[in-house]
Amino acid sequence: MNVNEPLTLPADFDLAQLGKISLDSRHDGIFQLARGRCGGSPAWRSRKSAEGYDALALAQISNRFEILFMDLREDIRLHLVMRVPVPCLPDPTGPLRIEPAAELGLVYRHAGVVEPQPGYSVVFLLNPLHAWHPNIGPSESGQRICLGPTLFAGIRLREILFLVYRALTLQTVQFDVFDSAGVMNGAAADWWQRNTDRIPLTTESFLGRREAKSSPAKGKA
Amino acid sequence: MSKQDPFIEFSAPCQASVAVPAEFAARLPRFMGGPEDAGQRFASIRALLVGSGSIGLEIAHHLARWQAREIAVVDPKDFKSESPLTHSIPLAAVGKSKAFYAADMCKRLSPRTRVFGFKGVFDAVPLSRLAEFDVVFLATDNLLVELQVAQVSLALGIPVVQGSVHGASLCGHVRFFGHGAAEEPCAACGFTREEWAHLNRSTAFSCDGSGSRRLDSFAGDQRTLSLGANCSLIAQLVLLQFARDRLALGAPVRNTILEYCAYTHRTVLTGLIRNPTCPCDHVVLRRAVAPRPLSECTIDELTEFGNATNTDWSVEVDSSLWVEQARCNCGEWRSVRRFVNDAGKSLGRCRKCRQPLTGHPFHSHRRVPVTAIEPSRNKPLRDLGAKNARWIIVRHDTDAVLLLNHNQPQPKS
Repeated sequence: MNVNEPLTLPADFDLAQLGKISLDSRHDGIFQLARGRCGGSPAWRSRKSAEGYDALALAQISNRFEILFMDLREDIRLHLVMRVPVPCLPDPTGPLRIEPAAELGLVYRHAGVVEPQPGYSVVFLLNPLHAWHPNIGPSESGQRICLGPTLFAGIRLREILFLVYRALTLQTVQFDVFDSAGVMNGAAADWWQRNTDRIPLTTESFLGRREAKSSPAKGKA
Repeated sequence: MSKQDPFIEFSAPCQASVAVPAEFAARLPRFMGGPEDAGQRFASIRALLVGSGSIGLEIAHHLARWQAREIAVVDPKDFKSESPLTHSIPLAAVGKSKAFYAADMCKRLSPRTRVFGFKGVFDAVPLSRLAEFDVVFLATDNLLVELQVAQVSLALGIPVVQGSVHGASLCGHVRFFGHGAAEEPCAACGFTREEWAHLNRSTAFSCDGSGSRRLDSFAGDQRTLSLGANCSLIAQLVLLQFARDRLALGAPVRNTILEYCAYTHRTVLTGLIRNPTCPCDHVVLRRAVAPRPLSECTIDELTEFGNATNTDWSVEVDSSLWVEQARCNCGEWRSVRRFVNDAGKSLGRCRKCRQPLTGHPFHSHRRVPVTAIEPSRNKPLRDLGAKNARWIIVRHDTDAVLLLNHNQPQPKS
C-alpha cells in the first residue's frame, strides 16, 4: 500500500457513504469473488454483501489496512493486514518491541446480527506472535483481541475495524485485572499499568494522514 | 465444548404410557365442539418449561395435573428468601433450585409423567433434545432467553406460549407463537428499539474464554414486582390458551396476544404478525431421519436430503467445529480438516517444537460451507471426527433440513 500519499476525503464524508464509493479494480475483484460464493438466507447474504463492500471501501480510502482475502460463504471472514503498531515481547526478559503492522483474522458470525457477542470472539491477531497487550489472549487460543465486554447485536463490520485499531494502539485499553471484562493477559496488564507513559502507541487517527512509520519514540523500550 | 444432555430425570425412568389414566378421564368434561380424545391429547403432551418462577411454577403444577407425558424444566436460579411472597412455594423451598423443585413437585403430582429438571441456561440444551418437545412454555423476563427460545423454537417448528405480567398496571400477556411456517412471527419480531438496547446493555461476557454470559444486576437479577395472584392468573390463561389449541376449541389462538387487565377486567385479543425487518432467521427446519446412524453417513448422503444441487450450501454437525488448521505457539500451522468437539483440545504436536497444537478459531467453522469440506464429502462422519453426532443441519438458501438419528423423534406430519 502507498502510505506516503495524503488522504483526501470530502469535508462532509461520513461512514454511511462507504457503500457509494466506487471500488477500484483490485478491491472490486476481491468483492466479486466473495459475493459470487456468498451463501445463507437472502437477508444474511444481503447483509454480508453490504458489510463486505463497506470493508473494502474503507480499506481503499484509508489505506489503513489491506484485505488479503474475503470469504462470505457462511460467516464473514476477513484476512487483512492493518498498519498499526503492535506491542510484542518475544523474549520475556528482553525489551518491548513494537511491530509496524498486524496480520489479522476476523470472523463475523450470523449470530452476531441477532445476539450480543463476546468482545473477544471476533478478531484474532495472526501475526506477530507474542503480543504483549492486556487485551490480547495467549497464542494457544489464537491471540484473541478483546474489544470490550460485549459487542452489541448487529454491530457493523466497519465499527469492529475501528475498535481493533483503537485497541491495538492502546488508544482504548482496559488493564484493571480486578475487572474481568477485557483483560486477557494479566502480566501484560500489570506491565502496562506501570508504563502508562507509553500509552497510546500512536495518536494517529484511523483515517488520519498517512505516515510511513508509527511514533518511534513510544516504540523504543 | 460438546453439549451433553443436561437434564436430570426425577425418580427412576418409567415406561410412560400414553393411555389416559382413568381418574383423569373421569374429571374431564365433554368440551363443546371438542374432540373425543381430549384426555389422550393432554396425556401425550411433551412440554418444555423455560423459567419456573411465579408464572412458570404454576404452569408446571397444572401440566402435571393434566398427566402430561413429559415435562422438562429449565431454570438456572434458586428460590430467594422473598420468593414465597410471589411464588406458590413453602418457606422450606428457599435456597432450593427452582428447576429441581418444580420437577420434583411434578413427579409427585403425576408419577406416570417423565419429569426432567435442569439447573442451567436454555442455551445449554442440545438441539436434538429440544426437538423432542411439542410445546415450549416461556415464563422468563430475560430478553436474551426469549430471543434464544424464539430462534430455536421457530427453527424446530415448536409452538411457544409465553406468559408475562406488568405488576404496576395489574396487566398480563399471553403470547402464542405457532411457529408453523417461516412467515409466522417470533418473539423477536415484537422487540422494540428499547428492548434491543436493553438486550445489548444487559448482556456481558466473562473473559475466561468460555463464552459464558453474565448479566448486569438490573436484568439478570430482576425480581418479580407483581402480586402473586396476577402471576397465577396469567399462568392459568397461558394454560387455557394452550388447551384451546391442543383440543382445537373455538377460534384458533396461534399467533395471538391476549392481554388481561385486572383494573378493568377486560381482555383484548390481537393478532401477531411477522416483522419483515426482524433480524432472526425465519427458517423452519424440515425434519428427516438418516438412513443409518449419522456417524456412518457421508456428507454427500446427507446433503441429498437438502435437495442442494449447487455449491452454496452448508452443514452444521451437532455442536462440533470443523477445524481446517491448527497452530502451535511457535507459529507453525498444520492442516487438520476434521470435526472437533472441544475447541481447546490438543490436536497433536508440532513437528518443529513438539508443543501441543490447538485448532485456530479463524480457521474453524460451526456452519461449514460445502467448499471447505469438499475433499471429504464421501467419508463417513465418524472418520471426520464426528462419531457421536446426534443431529446435523443442511442449509441451502431459505431451505434447511434437520437430520436426526433413528432414536430421535420422527418427522412431524
